[in-house]
Amino acid sequence: MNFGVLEVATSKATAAPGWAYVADTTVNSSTTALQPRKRAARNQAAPSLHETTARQETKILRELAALDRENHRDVSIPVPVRHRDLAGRASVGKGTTPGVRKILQSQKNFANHLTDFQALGSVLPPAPAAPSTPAVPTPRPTAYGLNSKGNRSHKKKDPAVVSTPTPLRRVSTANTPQPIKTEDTPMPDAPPSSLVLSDGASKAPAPHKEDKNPLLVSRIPGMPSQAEIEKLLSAPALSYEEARGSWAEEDQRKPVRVFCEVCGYWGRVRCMRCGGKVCALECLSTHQEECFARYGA
Amino acid sequence: MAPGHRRTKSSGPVPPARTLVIDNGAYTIKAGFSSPSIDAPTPSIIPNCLARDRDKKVYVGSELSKCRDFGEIAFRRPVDKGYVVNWEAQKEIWEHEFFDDKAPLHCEPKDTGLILTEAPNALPQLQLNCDQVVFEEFGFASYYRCAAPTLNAYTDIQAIFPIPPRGAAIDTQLAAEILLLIDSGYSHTTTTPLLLGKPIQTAVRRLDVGGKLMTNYLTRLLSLRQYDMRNDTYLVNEIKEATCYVSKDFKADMEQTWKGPKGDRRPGYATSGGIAKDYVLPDYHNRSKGYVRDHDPSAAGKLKALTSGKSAEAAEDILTLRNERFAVPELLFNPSDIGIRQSGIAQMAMESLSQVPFGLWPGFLANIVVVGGNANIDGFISRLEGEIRALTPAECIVRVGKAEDPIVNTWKGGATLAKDVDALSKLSVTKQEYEENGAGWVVRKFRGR
Repeated sequence: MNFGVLEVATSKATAAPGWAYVADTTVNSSTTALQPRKRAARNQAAPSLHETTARQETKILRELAALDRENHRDVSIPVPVRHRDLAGRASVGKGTTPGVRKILQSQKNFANHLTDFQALGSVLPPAPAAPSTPAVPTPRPTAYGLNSKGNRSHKKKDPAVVSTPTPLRRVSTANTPQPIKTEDTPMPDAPPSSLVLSDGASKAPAPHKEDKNPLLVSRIPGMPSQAEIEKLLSAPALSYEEARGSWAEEDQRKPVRVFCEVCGYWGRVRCMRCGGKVCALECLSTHQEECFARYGA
Repeated sequence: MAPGHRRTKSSGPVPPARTLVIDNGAYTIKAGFSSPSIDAPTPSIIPNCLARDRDKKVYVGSELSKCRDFGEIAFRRPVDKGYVVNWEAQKEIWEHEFFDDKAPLHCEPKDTGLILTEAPNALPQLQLNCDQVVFEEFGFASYYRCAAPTLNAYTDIQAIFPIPPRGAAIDTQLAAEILLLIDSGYSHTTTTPLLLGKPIQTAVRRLDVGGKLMTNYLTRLLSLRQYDMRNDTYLVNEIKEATCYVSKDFKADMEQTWKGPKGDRRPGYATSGGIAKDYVLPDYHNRSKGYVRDHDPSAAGKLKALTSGKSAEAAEDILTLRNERFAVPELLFNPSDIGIRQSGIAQMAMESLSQVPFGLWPGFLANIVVVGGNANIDGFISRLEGEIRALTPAECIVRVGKAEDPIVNTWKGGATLAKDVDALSKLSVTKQEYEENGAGWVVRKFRGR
């Protein structure tokens, strides 16, 4: 395990220990760090309704981070020290292996693990980060009707599987997926081949003469074939980041709802000082009492 | 234990007599035993936390029920974002609940199988840690780790929906055939389409809004507007559970709860058409639990009672909730209200379905089941059903159902699975297999389905 930290081989070796002059090719940081520039960038007007200024952005991010906290204050609650006799629990806790000890002592939080994972993913190819353990390689059940060597289905399988008709749609038997059983995999549960969706228990309604009426014909396409379903189910899991729900286009087009920061009603008046929204004059004065008193807002 | 249980390797080990099913949630653990001989397995609901009250006394897991004073209580939770991150704390809680001599659900791991849930899309390293601890530290005889939503397929889904009335058809299959599961818990909300108990992995989606975020949001609103509740999130959570509801008509409710501009008070503001509620706060002296009642405009808070000469004991602390009641659960449907760049839960369900062939849509849309604590919020199901219906083709029937008990539904599914010894042993990994093949093999086995 490299814990996400990889040593990058560099051709440039430093001649001497200590320090050296290096050409600064980045943006001139001495000028960007100047206050007026920063403030100008921060207060640039938002180009559209959805774009927020940098200052609002940081405020939102800060507030979201606060909403994600477990406790308002930083607390550390140590695991209570137990006074117990070890004789009573011979089976548990005795055989603590070094690996487990490392896990138990780890103080990483989820964000740390996620950064590790991302770092690992950026240096390694996107293949699933399988830990290096002395296990046999597993061929992934991807090719249907093909086995790992690429030749067509070998008919050693139990005939019951092949002859099972798909009730959803007739599929030619040649396309019926073979359960992938390779010689070199000791996976006892190769994808079961009994993934058959039924037609449903309820009876179809009695035919009606208007069934063929173009206005009444269903435009829902038929069920996918057995092979498609198996392919769907065998796809590997997405990573944590990929599974995050997106912001749909049509939702992005909608105007953002803004609420009064004081009472929670619609925000219709903007505070001239901080850009926060309030509903009416009364809330504005409440807001400004605090807003003007706050330092550095 | 019978020592005569020696068998050859090829026949495979005999599955353990009973199975411990743990739905290891971020807020509570749902745990209990199941086996073919147990008729109606029931779970215990255990707070998954170490808590410390203001007297610096630490409560582990179920000990929290002994706590009488929740003022300024602080929590340490081993599960973060739905995944077990801190095994030090998790081990302490598990030992307290399962392995200690006086544990409420005592068991010997070496004679017990384990079904353990995790949130979908877990990080491989965390899965590896989990497997390692289960086998090397606790030494369970067999073990099945799965994404929590999948277990719901083993519950009786059709019993949830009143329409159509059930025929005499008997389900022969263990797992529900087709099901779109929405799990809205403490850390996040996920949608998982399930076919015959197997998740369609490419279609699993997550919305980063859960019970914790909503509680914290309510805390912020209350702290800004009324009392500083920032150190009393436990209490705010109770307020949330007691008062929050999902609005049917957000704009109308918002108008009703507006006080109106200065000098032009809205006459209906005081009661806000029944939306305004008073929450009487506990003082942890005479009253250890708060309660809700309709807002009474004539009775003011403690301050007035004090000035009018009543004793401080007789007075009570009241929080009046108006738009907080529906603005907080609204985050599930409009996360952009607080700047989260994600779509609401209904749109996320559609995004999930977009990864699925169109032919399966009618099946999924007619079998949407919501589990997780947030499903208990009033009006959640009907609002979700309405929003999903608005986004789907008109010919599809949309049915959204709430599980009978949304919090323990996942556990119940696991218990049902544990009753089918053959099905479970196909899915599980035994300790022997782990020792022979290594941790990486186990990770791949649970992943490669």
